[in-house]
Amino acid sequence: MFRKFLTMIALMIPLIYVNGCADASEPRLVPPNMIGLLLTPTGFDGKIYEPGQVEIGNTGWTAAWGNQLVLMEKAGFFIKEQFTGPEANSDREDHRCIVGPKREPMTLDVRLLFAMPDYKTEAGKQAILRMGLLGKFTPGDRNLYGGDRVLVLDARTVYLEQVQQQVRGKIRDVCIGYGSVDGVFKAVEKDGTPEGFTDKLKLAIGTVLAENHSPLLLVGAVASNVKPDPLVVKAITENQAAGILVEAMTKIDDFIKADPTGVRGQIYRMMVLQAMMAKGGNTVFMTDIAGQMGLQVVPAK
Amino acid sequence: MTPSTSATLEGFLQGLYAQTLSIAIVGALLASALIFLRWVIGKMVTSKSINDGDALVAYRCLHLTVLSVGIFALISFLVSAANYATNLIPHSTLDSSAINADIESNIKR
Repeated sequence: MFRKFLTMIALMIPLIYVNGCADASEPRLVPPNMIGLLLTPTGFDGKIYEPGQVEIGNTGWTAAWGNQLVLMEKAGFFIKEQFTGPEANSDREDHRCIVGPKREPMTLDVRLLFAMPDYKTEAGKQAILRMGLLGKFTPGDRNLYGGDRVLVLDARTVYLEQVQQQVRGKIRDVCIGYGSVDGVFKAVEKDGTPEGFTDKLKLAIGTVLAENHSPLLLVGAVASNVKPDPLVVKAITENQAAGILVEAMTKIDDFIKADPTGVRGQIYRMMVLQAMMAKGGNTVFMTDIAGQMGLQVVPAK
Repeated sequence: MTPSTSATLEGFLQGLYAQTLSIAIVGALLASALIFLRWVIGKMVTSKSINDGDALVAYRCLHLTVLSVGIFALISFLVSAANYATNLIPHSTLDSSAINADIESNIKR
């Protein structure tokens, strides 16, 4: 009996151990727009994990020793850089681009698409190092990546901290290189050619990022919402309105003069008077001496 | 350390840190338990609490248990290592050469 009891104990203990320490897999997802690095308790294991799943292993038997998956967003995010006046900015500062020797302010929006350099190249590996050393990692959503023990580096934080100043500075450099806002508009018409405004922006921004070993490089850019100062816009609008008014007056004049009987002129006078009466506030006396219109306006008291 | 798309032995062993520590602790515990229980059984034999026949059975069961636990711990470690080794399988990714070409076109070299 004692022997059977001891034999049973001898066989059960390993089974209890195996059940207690059953090493289930711990896979985590590396999404298509990201790459992964494995952070072990003693540092990175040195391998770049491409999209798919990565086995990070379970935690230690006695304490929470275990690997963490570090994900870096490598591609496909866009940023909108705005250069707007004080009314559109929270700090009430004028951030518009300055154009030309006359220092004309110009509103501008630039949409930029970024990606990390190819991680198989030396530039890509350096980008990973910069992002890893200078970026801020946050815990990943366990529902997105298959579990906990995942750290994620949002590329936007990398852009804001490491890249934004270079990009905005270069956009301003390009703007000031034009003679006037009209020159910028003319360049916008040539978009799609090397003289195009957007094309010059892309080349300038892309080059400065590559020269400064930025962890993010430019895939594409589009400039939009190019506008001069509001006062200039207002003056342009008024100028256009005045031009259309002169055209209208000329048409009416020609129309009236084309009628030798003078009936058209009389009808036009009636219409003008009707419009004046509709505004109210004045009494109008109309006299007609020898076919000419004489008006006496008596203001209301 | 500059990361690379290929794995190293050092990196692979780093990744098994938790499992290596676990099996080391289990081994130390088993060794301690073996030594202690053998001493206990020996004491019981000396004090005539159990006879020699029962003592032999007890020793046999003790050795069987420690060996079983040790083997299962080793199997568990090997299973973990095999799981982890799946990370060495190359992944096929989408071709990003078009994106790289767009990036290059924006750089004046």
